[in-house]
Amino acid sequence: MKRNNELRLHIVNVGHGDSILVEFPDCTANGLAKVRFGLVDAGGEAPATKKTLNYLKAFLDYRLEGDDNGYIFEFICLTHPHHDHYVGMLDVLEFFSGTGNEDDLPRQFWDCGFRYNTLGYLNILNFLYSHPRIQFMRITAGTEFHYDDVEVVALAPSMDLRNRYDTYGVELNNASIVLRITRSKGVAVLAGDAHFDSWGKICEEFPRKKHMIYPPDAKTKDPGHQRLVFTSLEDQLNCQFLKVAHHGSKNGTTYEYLDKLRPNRFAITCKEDRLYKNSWQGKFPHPITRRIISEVTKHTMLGPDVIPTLADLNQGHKVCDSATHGSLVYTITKGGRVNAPACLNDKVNEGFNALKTKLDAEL
Amino acid sequence: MPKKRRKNPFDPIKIAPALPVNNFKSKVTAMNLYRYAIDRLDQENNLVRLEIVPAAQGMTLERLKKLSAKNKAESLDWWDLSKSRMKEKTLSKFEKQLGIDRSANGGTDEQFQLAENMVFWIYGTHEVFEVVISATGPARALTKKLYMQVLKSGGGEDSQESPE
Repeated sequence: MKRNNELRLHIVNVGHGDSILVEFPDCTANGLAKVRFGLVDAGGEAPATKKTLNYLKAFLDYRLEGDDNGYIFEFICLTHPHHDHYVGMLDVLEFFSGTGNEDDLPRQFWDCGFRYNTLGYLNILNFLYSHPRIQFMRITAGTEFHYDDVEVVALAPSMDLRNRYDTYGVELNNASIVLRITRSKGVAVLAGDAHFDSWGKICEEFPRKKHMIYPPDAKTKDPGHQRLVFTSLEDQLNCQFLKVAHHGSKNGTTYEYLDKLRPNRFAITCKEDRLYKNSWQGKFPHPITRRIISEVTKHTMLGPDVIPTLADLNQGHKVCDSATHGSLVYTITKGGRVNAPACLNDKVNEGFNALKTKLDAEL
Repeated sequence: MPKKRRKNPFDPIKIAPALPVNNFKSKVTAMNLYRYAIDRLDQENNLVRLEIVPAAQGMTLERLKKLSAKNKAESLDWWDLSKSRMKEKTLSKFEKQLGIDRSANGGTDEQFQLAENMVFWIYGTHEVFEVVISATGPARALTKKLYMQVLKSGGGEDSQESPE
């Protein structure tokens, strides 16, 4: 087995849709090292619906190298039941149930709790009903999971929104599960398709955290608190990596929340612009989103008519999109540094043997 | 022996059904039963993304109405999930097909507003909808039933329901 001590986020290129493989550092069970991973969404559009499954197979081939040590599939998270986030999920579930070993199944299924009426989603529920071994969980803001030194916290959906799902018409995108994955000082946020309402709640529920330190004699000798020392202006939401919300739609990105998050690296999951139909052309990533990302990363205001291109944004692999770069693999080291991504440009050659070779070469 | 009548080769009634063009046409316009679910509604861009699933073999409109009235909920067995597909359509065109006139009452009548998560049973072709039945109620009943089953069987962290 090929050993791994890093936290890796594989942003799988499924075109317009999300599919993110979270690869944890190896764990040990029964004296054997095991590959440990989770999956956030398994989306895409026809004909790329099996891409997530093919990627997972190639990944396991690559990591296990024929060893029988096995793996632990910790969770499968459906951020929200839109087609571009679940279309390949049943294939994944059926593949892991088809091995005949119940230990191969994901341990948990994370659901946002929004009951959707599409038969594709109901079919997933039907599968889960027939496999009670998979723990079904409704995730809300604040839910925490720990995988050795990696912490996964759900930032959304808030309980306030969840209680309004049916009665007050919460839009499904606002029901998205948003995850914060932390290792040491390295923080990654996977934003699902969260829109304004959801970001509003996140900012409210995870407020700015200032560490204020008063000198010991502050109260007696310094009534004006002139000597107040701010040791940290870090925000609870600060991160180094952001999977941009809703494929770069302008409804998922605001200047205010991005200013709080202040990521160094961005990944956008979208397909080539020319492949979008009708009025969706030119909307992913939206020009407003591109402007906001540019202003936040470069700390400069743009002129009113300036709309940066993706090539402008992508200096030093700061902002990568799956349409241009293919599948992306971000590594968070033990010290918390988020490295520039390895780009697996699998747009033309979908042969996963080639992908495996690239994984070997680039990681 | 009676004299054989000469066939009129220009008789449109007799000739028409034999023409391959018309045969093709009749196939195209064949009416079928579908389940349309609104997966994504983007009013800003006038687009709607639909999940379209044809009825399972042997299911007729009458049977569907009867079963629905009896059970008050849908069943996955009624639909052929293997033939499910997604389609993006212009929202205004879809509204027209459904027979929704948004210009009535200044376009504010909530009764005629489409929303995500709505379900329709439609008898017709992809172009013309002959019968449209709003089926969000039975669809929601099925979703709720399945959801609660999974929560109870899969060891969910709580079984608290969100309000209906």
